[in-house]
Amino acid sequence: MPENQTVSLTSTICPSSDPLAAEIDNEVVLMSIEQGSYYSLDTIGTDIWKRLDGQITVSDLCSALIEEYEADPDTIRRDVLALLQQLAAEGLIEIQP
Amino acid sequence: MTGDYILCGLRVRSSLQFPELWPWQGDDRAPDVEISFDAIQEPTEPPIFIRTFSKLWADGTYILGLDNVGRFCVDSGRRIQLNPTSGAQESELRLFILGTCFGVLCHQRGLYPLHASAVNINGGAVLFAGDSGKGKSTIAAALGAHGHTLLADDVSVVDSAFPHLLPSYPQRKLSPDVMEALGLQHNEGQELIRPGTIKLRVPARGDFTPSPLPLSAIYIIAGGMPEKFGEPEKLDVLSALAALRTQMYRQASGVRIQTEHALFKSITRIAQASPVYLLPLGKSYPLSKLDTLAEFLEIHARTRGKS
Repeated sequence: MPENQTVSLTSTICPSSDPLAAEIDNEVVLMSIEQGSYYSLDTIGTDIWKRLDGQITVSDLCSALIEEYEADPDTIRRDVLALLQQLAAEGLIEIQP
Repeated sequence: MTGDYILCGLRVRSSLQFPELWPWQGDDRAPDVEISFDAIQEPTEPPIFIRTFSKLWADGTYILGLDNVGRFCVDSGRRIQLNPTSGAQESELRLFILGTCFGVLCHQRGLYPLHASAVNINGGAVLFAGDSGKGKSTIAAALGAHGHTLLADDVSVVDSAFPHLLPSYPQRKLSPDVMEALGLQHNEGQELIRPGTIKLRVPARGDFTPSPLPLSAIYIIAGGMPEKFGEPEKLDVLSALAALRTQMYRQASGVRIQTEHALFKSITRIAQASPVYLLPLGKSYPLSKLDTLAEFLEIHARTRGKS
């Protein structure tokens, strides 16, 4: 199951085929079936979600975000990996190693 | 005697007569739903969900059994069978078919039924959702007195693919004191909805339009200051989704008939299409001030709803 999928910088990320995700008023909302609750992504989370075109690698994603937000590369990588791990655990994205 | 009616855009053929429904006037398509008197056979496999009065099977088949009324079986989104107890009143049979049974049938068809009443304001559907006793029908009736036609009472069915409100039928359920406050005549033939309840069936005034209407605004009626109503509060996206989910009609069956994905799609599409407001309304709001509330809501829905 998704839990044991590990995300590394070379992984390719794509949204799962039918994710419980929708965009409302420029906000991406997701549903956790496990918890039966809705949650939304913040601005950067939404940005990340929109960049998941099925071909992008974690490394490319981080590079794009580092450039876009002029942020500390280590912080970006750490946050991105944490978010992707969470999305994978909810079954919202698929990871190809 | 069989009659064909229109209900939520569906051609419904029924062996039980429904004076509250509009006769079918559409094309000559085959009936979408058939209601018939039949002996009811339970599926052979065990049900997946059992409640005091109902059972649900994995394929969505639903059986409701009520003492002194009868048994009802709803399956495949196309069929309602009924087997009345001898002496059951037709008005009660109609009540359960148009309420619970049709609600379950909507779930079987992938539609989204909300526990809400709906009126037509400026060509858009304005919904008032809330638990029983919160004032859904009363608000809709007060707006009706201002010329806004009724689209649905108590259960509002949304086809989220568009998303549009599918009007049901032009009849309200009102208590005698609300009728009096709105100056509605109590005529003969407005039988009690159920023996022992105090609400009356009241045909709605105005022209009923059976065609689907786009959603304009959804108000969730919440408790408020006694004897007052408050400024509606627009819900943020997550609260709107949670509220729409909570207001789903026949929820316990719905979540087992529809997939989580289908429900998520419906709820998010509805939230994309229409703003959702929390309407604080005191439980003891005086009926003598219904007109003020109707005037306020009329303007609010016109200016703050989606046009």
